[in-house]
Amino acid sequence: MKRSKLAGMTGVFLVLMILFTVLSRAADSAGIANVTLGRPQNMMIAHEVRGTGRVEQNQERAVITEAGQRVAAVYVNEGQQVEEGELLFELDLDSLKENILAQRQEIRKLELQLQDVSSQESVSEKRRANEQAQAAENYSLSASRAAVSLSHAQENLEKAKKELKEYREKEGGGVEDTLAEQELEQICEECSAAYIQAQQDLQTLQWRIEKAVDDALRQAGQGSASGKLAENVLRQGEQENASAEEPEGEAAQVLSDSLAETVPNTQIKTGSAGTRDGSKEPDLDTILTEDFEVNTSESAVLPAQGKTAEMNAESSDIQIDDIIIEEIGLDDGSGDNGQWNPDTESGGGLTGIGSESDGTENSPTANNTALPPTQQELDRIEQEVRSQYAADLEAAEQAVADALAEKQKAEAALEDCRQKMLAAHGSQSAEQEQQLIDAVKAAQMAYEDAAIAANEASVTGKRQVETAGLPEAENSTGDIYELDLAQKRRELSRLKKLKKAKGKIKAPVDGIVTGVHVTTGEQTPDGTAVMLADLTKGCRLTAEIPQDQEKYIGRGDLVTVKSGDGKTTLEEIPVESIAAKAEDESVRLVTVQIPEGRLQPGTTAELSLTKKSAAYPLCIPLAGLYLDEKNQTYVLAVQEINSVLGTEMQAFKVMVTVEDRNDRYAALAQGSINSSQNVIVSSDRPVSEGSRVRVVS
Amino acid sequence: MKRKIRNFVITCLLCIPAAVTVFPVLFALSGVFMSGYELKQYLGPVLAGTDGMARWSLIPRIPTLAPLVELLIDSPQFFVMFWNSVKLTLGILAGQLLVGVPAAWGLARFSFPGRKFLYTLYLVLMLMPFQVLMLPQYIVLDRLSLLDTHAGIILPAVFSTFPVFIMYRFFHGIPEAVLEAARIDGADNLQIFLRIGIPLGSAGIVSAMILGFLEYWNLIEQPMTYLKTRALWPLSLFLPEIGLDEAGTGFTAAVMMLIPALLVFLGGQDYLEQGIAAAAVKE
Repeated sequence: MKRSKLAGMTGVFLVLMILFTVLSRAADSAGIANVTLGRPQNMMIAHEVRGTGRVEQNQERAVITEAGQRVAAVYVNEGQQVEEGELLFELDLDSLKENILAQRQEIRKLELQLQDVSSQESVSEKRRANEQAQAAENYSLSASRAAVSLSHAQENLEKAKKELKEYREKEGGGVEDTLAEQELEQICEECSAAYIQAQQDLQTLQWRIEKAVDDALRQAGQGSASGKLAENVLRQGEQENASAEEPEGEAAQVLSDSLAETVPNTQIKTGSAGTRDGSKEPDLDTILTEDFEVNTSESAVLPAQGKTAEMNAESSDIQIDDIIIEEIGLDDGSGDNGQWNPDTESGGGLTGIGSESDGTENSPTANNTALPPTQQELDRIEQEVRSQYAADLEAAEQAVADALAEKQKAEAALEDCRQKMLAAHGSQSAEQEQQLIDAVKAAQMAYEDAAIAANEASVTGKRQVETAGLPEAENSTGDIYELDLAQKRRELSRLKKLKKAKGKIKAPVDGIVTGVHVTTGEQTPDGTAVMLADLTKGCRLTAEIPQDQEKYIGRGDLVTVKSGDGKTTLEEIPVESIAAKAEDESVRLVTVQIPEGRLQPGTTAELSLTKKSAAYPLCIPLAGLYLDEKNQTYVLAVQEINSVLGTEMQAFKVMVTVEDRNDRYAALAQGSINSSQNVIVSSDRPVSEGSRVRVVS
Repeated sequence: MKRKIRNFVITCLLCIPAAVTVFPVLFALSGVFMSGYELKQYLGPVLAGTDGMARWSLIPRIPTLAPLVELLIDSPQFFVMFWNSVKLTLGILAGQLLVGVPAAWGLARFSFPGRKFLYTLYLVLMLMPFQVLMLPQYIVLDRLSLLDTHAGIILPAVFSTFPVFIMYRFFHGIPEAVLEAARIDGADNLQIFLRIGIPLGSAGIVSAMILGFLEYWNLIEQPMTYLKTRALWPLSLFLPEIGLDEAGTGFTAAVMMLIPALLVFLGGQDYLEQGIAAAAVKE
């Protein structure tokens, strides 16, 4: 290759190198940020709080009229200012008259319905009183019939015994045999009496079980199927069981005492053999009461109440206390002396037997809140009540069976004795004596049947009387009609007032119409017809400010309020309240009261406040403050570096702590930098640590 | 025919070391046109410690001129160093022309007491490596306040003995009859040196200059030792600054650095050979 060519190439190479040197220098220069340095200054940080909002009225007034009235004309529009007494809208008078007429008709209808209800209630009460009286009468008759039958049976028995005795005396016989027979007869009578007693106990217990079940179910059905009531029923059963375990003699004594107190004029007849103590058979003796004449005043304890009881009193001179003889005997004596108190029954809930029940547990208030029980719950309650009495029932049945066995055994022994005696007598006399003995046996059986039947009649009658005395369900129809009637009358009164005012609705105060909810030709709504901003109560401005500015403004601070159009500026308006915005926690609502007449409701306005801090020695423009990826603040200072390109300026990071800042300046804590150190306060392009920079001033 | 086969075999055998010799240049050339991603893939195991073995491809998969553009447009540092190298090299060579040529002429053509000793001293100094001279030179430069200046690099090199040694050979080979003729014609010593010595010894001068250029263009130890200011660094210190991220730039810089040396070599190849031959001939 020729040297000249090589020299040319060398020349070109050098020229290119010169060219690229210039280019790269230019490119490099263009990439260097031009920065301005500044020293931290001693200054105060001013915080400007600024927020915009809308002026609102302090109070709104709703103009309300009767709903459903036809509007004849509307005289105002939204935003219109009205004075007190100024016509807002007008109702159609014809329509108003028609409505008044219709209202009167409604009132008349309600009055008639109320009369109907009153009449029905009266009839219902009378019918119920009759039913109750009928039940009491039936019970009285059946008890009396049973007593008479029993009396006859007893007479027949005595008679048969007497005939047998006379026959034997006439025939003569072994004194020993006669004494033995008398002893056996005595045993037999005792066994018979015990059997009757056991049978009566069983029936009474069965009645009590049924009554307890009925009570529990009734109370549950009245919306008191809660556990408390069920427990009450169960506890009641337990109390009864406990009292039932008391010695019979003691119970009988209590019975006698109570009878002596409650039925002083009742004559108790002892229907058993003379060897027996009458007090040992109180039930039977009481059932067999012959004299049913009772003091009329005692009828106050009938299940029926009030007028019904009074109406019934004359027609039923019966002492109903007898029907609860068994309860008296079994009660622990701490109650109301065995009197069945219907008041307690109806008012206290489940108290039929144990009148000592806790009133708080059976309060009607508690009952009203409970839901009606399901069939399953009712079944469960019934099962629980029955299970309470299961042991007693079984014991009573066992007692009946034992008594029956004893009786049959005694009768068999007596029969053997008599057969022996008959065998000792002649065949003719024996036959006659056998007939007499059979007659005595028949009379004895008839007497037993009559006694049991009398007890059964007593129990059945008691139940019927009680059923008739059950209170009827509450009926509030009449009260509801009365309430409706009162309301209709009030509505009529208002309509009349409207008519008197010729259907004109006027503004109650000076204000600005903020809402019109009526339309000409349409009916008035069931609510606000016209909404007014009450100008007499003043206006307020509620402006929104960011949450981070909240610390610079406080209640009572004086702010400047400027209207949106800039025409009105209000100075030194105190802040009334600062509160968080319900929908946005990052916004605070600042409220100030606007002096009367300065700004109208609906106007937009700006609120501003400038608060200066104490002097800080190291303040830099906010543009000179940087935030790293860890959210730590730093500033960039510059230092000279020796690079290939010569001495250059390079930025480096100085971590700082910001004590305060506003939207222009930041106050730095002392320590990391000092007031003589230059930091970058502005740059024409982003600068980071290590960036080469060119200081322009 | 037999000779042809033998020549072919010899040529093939010689191509192997030739290829080995040329490979670094090809390596650098191919690197100029590779993207940074490709370079990282190839050189990552060596320069970045990634897994695998370093490998290389002489043909870039995605050829690009980005490294070249980056070097030429976005690396002003490269040009600072380039011109520093030019400045140092030309300064040294100019100094050697001014100092070395007369010295070599004097040693070759004048007879004076101690000439032999002086020449031997030259040879001894020429054989001394830089590591031996570094400390004395540093102390001297420090005392002269020439540390961290280009003069501190240029001045010691100006008085290098190697070009004197090369040129001595050429000046010594000029026939005495030519110089005698000039003297008869009335030429004084300066005229003889300028008019006869330099033209006749130009081959030696050029040869010394070419060898000197190749040496000082790649100068690395002296700048590293005596230059602290980075702005004074020559191009030979640019490459050590390059990391894997700028590997493409590094290859481009290497090629760019090769171009002046290649041009000088091509232009003065015959002089270079003469100079090497002269240095190899023992007196």
